[in-house]
Amino acid sequence: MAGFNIGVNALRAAAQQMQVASDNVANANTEGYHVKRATVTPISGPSIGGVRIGLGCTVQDVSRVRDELIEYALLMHSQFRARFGAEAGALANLETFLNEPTDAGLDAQLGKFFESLAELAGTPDDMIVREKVVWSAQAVCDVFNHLDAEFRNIADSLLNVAGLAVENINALTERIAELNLQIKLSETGGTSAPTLKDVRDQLITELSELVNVTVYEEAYGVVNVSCAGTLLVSGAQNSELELVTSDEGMLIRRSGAVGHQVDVCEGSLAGTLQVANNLLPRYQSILADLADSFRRAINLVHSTGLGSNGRFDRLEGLNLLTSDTPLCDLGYGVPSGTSETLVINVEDEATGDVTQYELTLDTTQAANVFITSLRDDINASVPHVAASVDNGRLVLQADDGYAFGFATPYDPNPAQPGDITAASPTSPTIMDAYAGDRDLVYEFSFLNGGEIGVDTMTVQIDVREPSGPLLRTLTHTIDETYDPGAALELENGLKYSLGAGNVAAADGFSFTARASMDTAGVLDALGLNVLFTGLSAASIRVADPVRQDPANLAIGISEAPGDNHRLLEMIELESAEIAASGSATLHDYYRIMLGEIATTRNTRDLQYQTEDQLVNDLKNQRDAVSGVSVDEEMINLMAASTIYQGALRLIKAIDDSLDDLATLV
Amino acid sequence: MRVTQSMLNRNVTYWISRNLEDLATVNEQLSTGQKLNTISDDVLASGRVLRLERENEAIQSYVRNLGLADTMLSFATTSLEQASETIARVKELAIQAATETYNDSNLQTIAAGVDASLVTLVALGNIEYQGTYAFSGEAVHTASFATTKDAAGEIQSVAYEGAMVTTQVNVGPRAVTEVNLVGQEIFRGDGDLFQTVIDLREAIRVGDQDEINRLIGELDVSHTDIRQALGTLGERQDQLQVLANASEAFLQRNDEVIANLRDADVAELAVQYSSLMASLKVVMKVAAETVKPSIFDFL
Repeated sequence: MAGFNIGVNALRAAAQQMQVASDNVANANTEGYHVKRATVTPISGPSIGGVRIGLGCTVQDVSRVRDELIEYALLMHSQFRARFGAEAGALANLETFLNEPTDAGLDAQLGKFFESLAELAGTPDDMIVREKVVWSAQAVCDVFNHLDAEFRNIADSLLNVAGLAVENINALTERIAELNLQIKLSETGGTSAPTLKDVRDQLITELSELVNVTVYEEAYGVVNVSCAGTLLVSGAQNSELELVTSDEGMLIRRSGAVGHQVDVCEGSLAGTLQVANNLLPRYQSILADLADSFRRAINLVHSTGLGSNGRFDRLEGLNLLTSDTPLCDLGYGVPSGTSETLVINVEDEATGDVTQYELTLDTTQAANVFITSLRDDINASVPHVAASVDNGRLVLQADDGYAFGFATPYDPNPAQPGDITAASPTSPTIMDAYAGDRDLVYEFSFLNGGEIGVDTMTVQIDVREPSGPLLRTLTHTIDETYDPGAALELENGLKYSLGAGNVAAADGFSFTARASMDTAGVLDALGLNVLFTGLSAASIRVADPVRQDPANLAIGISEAPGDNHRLLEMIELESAEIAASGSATLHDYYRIMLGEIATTRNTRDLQYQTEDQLVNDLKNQRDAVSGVSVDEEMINLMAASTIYQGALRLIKAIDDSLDDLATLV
Repeated sequence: MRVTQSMLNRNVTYWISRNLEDLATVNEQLSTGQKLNTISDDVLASGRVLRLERENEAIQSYVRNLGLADTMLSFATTSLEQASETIARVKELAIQAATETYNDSNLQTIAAGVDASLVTLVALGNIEYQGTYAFSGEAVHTASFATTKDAAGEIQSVAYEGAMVTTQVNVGPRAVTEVNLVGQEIFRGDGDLFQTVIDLREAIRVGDQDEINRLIGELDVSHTDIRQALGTLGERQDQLQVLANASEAFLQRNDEVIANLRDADVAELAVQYSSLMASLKVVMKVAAETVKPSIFDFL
């Protein structure tokens, strides 16, 4: 009976349609689920008497409703969104630790340090204010140390995140490959596998949140997935990735393929790599540069100053120079040169007489060779000062009755025996700070003789560069109104005085005013008479001698309690372009970094929001095509139910007809 | 276009989330009273605030240094004014002694008066403020002038013991001023005040009128030194006052700019908050209304 078959076919088809609708309703909120539709086709019947009547219907297939264009766009923009989200998140984290703009930030702490220096300028020997300067200096170091530690923590976190992402990628690709196999087995057997495809495609979507992926459809519903040209999934096989750390940062490579680097450019892993490999190292480098520029600039001034106790009986270097790396490459900012100079002042404490000794340095020497060479040079050339190397540190010790230093940029008592030939000779004195930007030799000669402060005499002063041509000649007249010992203005901030006594015609003396006592900044590298020790932001700190006794804060060029010459130079450093290879102030360079971080974060935030909106819209577009409308499914369910009920009635009607027919027999 | 429940749910979640983000921002600004809580809140404004705050700190240190310099100059001015008066008194005594109407006893009395004035002048040259000598240059803890006395305790000579270099402080960008003075340049400038007074005392004591008359001239030279120093100090004090006023004005202006850039406008934020809350309520109400109905209600 064909009628029975038709009824049974209808029942079966309606039941399957109800099942599909039920499945759709059940998965209405399942992420990645695509609405399924049963493809119902009529069953052709045999031809009876020239008439062909169908045998009802059958569900030929259950398929997913998809718009490939939307699916592709969604996959792409999910990758973009994930990258921007990862970058914005990491940068937000970074910005939080920078703690700006607050009083606890580096900008404010640097400002407070220079403010404390300015406060000390008025009362240079005030121990309370000196203590304040030391604490504010340590506060700057603490912020540098803290920021460096936080930057390192972020770098470690990013490494962990990237490692987890790679593990996740490998797990996902393995699962995708497994599903590919199942789908292929199902579809080659003639059964479509829309649910398996949904599960697999959802995994691909999750994969796209991590890395940039491209999907290629193959026969039997199988897909191949690649990342930047590297096949991650090929049919039922997957290739694993691995995270490798190198000098260039974190790299993603295909496991087992040496040198096969995978260019991850989208997804959250790409965002993580971008921050870890490019942005964070740049900011770490800026922070290190800031710390080093700050340390070096302050130390260059401080190391050539004197504390409240005047010149030194003993100085111990704080930095270890045992490396065989050239001194100029150690990171202290020492320039490469073979004719750099260091000038040591040696004071005879009994007479107050100061003698200068100039040493020529070769900073291209290995650090451990340099320190021993310097020790030998000092021992050979500088009387009354003994140098030694103790476990890689330079130690200078003055003989009893002598002291040494690096502060006074000239010989303060320049007249040598025989310079002034008159009886009861005058004693010239040089004083105040030298503001010149290059070394200059001042040659004094008295054109006529006489008694200082009694007779009128003319002093001619030739100014020239060392071993260079005459630059200019100054002429001073000293008459009976001159009070012996009173200061006379010279130039470049220098003053001189002539003590009571006599000079003869053609008598004279000379001295060299030095723009720098330490042209290469080796005192900073050696850690001699420095305010800060340590390299980069990680280890910068206030030197122990200063921390233990603020009297060691070297802010003058003499031991006069009101001498603040070096302090004024330090204060000027706040507005000097000493960072970024001399192109920016400390504050400006730091603010450039802050601005860069914040602007990049804002840009990524904006891009993330745009992509998020886009992904949201695309998901809506996808839902418009592939989403489950419960109402629609209920109607489908009711329609199928009606058919089911109709089919049951049909079978009953045929059964009744047969019963009726049977009663006739 | 097909609209599914998921789409409605997603849109509701998305827009509630966006509204809450905006509310959180306004909430943070209202809580802190600041619209700049991180640099990324406004990169340019944050940069300006940091710059102005550092500028203000520098200006505050200039103001502090200006106060220090002004105090020292006031002390020095007072000292020099008294020195000027003392010199005038010495001159009066010298003019009296230069007349021939005084006997030896009278001259000894006048000489004693001159000697007392000498002691006063040395004391004025050694004026101290908070443990620092005003006229010793950077040798702030060394008495500016040391005296040599005879057995009777009378000053025989006065030597300058201070430094020839002064302590300078910043009072503006690339502007410095001195917070102490070199006594040698003031008291022993064109004339040697102390030696002149000592010589005068001795000339009066022996009644050497020619010498007295010559020394009155010397005294005038020293008096001119002191008056010139007073004039210079007065001018410098005026300049410091101008700088102080300018600094205060800069501080005030910067504070206003910082407040404008950083401080939140509470009234505006309150309005914004109300608006966002209203918007959030609407989103939620619409969500509740649109998500709830289904065909089940009619089956």
